[in-house]
Amino acid sequence: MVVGCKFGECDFENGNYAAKRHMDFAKKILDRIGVGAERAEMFFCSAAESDKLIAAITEMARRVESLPPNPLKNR
Amino acid sequence: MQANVFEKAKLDAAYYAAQSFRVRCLVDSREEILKAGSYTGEDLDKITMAIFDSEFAKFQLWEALRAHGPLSLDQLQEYARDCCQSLFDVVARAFQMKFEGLASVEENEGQITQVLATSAKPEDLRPIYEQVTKGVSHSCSGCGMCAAICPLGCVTVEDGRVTINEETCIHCGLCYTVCPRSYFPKSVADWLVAQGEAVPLDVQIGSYIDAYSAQTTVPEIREVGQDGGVVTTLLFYAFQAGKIEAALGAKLTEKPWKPEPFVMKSQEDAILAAGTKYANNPTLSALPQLTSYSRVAVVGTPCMMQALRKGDIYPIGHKFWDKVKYKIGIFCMESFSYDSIVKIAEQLGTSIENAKKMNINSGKFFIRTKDGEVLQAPVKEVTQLARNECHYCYDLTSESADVSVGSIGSPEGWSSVIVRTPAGKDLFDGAVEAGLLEVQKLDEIEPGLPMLVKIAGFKSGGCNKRILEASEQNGVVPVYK
Repeated sequence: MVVGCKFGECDFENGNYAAKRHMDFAKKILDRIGVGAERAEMFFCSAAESDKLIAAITEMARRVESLPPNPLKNR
Repeated sequence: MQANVFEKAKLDAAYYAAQSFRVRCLVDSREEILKAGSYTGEDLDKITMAIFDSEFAKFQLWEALRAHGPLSLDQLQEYARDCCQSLFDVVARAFQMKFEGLASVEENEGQITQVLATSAKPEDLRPIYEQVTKGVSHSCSGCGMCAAICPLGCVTVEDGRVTINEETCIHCGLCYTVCPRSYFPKSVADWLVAQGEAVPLDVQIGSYIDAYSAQTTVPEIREVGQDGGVVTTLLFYAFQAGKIEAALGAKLTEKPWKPEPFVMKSQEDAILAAGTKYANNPTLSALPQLTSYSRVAVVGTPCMMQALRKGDIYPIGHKFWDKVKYKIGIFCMESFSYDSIVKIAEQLGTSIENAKKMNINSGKFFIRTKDGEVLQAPVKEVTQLARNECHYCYDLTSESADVSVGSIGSPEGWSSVIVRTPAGKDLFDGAVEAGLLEVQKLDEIEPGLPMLVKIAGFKSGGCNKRILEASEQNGVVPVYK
């Protein structure tokens, strides 16, 4: 789970754009190698939006609970 | 193989593939690439993932080689089955790793005996994939593939010279990846052309199904065609039978004898493009113009056929590759810069404006002038003006094409035709059945195949010599193995 500022509102100007690009690519790779893209997600919220952050964390927690074990894990 | 070893290797391979700078470059420069406008987001995703997939498969094989030691051909077959890949793909990756120095491939009489990992590390690979202007420009064939693939549109090929706009280049290495003069795994390409059938080892003209001598029966084509008018007839037939919607080739511009890439859309266009143009032309740079069609043919010289075949071996994910249904290759000893063509006309005692037709036949270079005069000079005098870069090419008969056509081996007014693949056979047989071509077997006529094999031997021999000389002087040379 990666959380970044909203686009255009980041102190580091374009760091969140780069992170989004990398996350998009990482999700594609996870799909390709059979791990599944739903195991990674990026969320955006500002420092004042605690409700959004809580919703995002809840969402990820829900996903993790419903996921089967890592298909690539050593058996 | 134990399951857990395999899974760990898979993760490592994915890690190396994601670290591969060729992949990262496309991810990191995504915005610049989309701004340049050559690719849509969807195109770019496809290309990025195609390169990721090929790097992933490559590093998986590398991991297997490191874990299990050398693999024989039988073991490679078993590995291919385990990974649900074809043996062809696995061998193609092995040759790629050989070029990159990650593995060595041992062969005996054209058969792979074993593949083994070297001590090189994946992080050593970066310097290999450079811009084509570095290292390849002295052997550049001028085919134009790099200009077609460049995501920033910063590569230009003109008159056999490649230039890169340094200000916009992102050093993604795609131009080098698709270049037929960087590396081209000849044995893998032969295998692909032969569709798994045995490849004749000692023959200089590549693998083929059948060889003929042919002549067009279409009067309009006979008037404008080079020898037998076969290439134009094949396109004429393909348009007529609805096998293609467009074809890429070359046509002369208003500047006398200066060719340019030309997208043909009809039989009339095919006739406009008839006749050999001896000046170098970056035909493939126009490939992106073909993406709106679903079935196309490409007519080009051996280097262009190599570039297209290389994309079949190492898929780049660009959408134009799937559309090329027929690769029609022409025989080519060498090509000329435009200036040289002008000089040749002067040497023969005329001017370029006054030349109506040019031809090389029976060891002589002919120019027929507009007044009907025929001028000639021995080919040897003329070839001194040929492009030096072309001497790095071994291929006379377009060994990577589906069907190859040229005058060598056939009597005047006829063309030799080498049918190599089922696609080429389909096209050629169709044109014959439609009554558009008159045909005889190449081994039943004089000078026929022996002449073709001999001259092809001159070219590949000259190429071997040039590559040897250049590598002795520590020059960068094309890798064909």
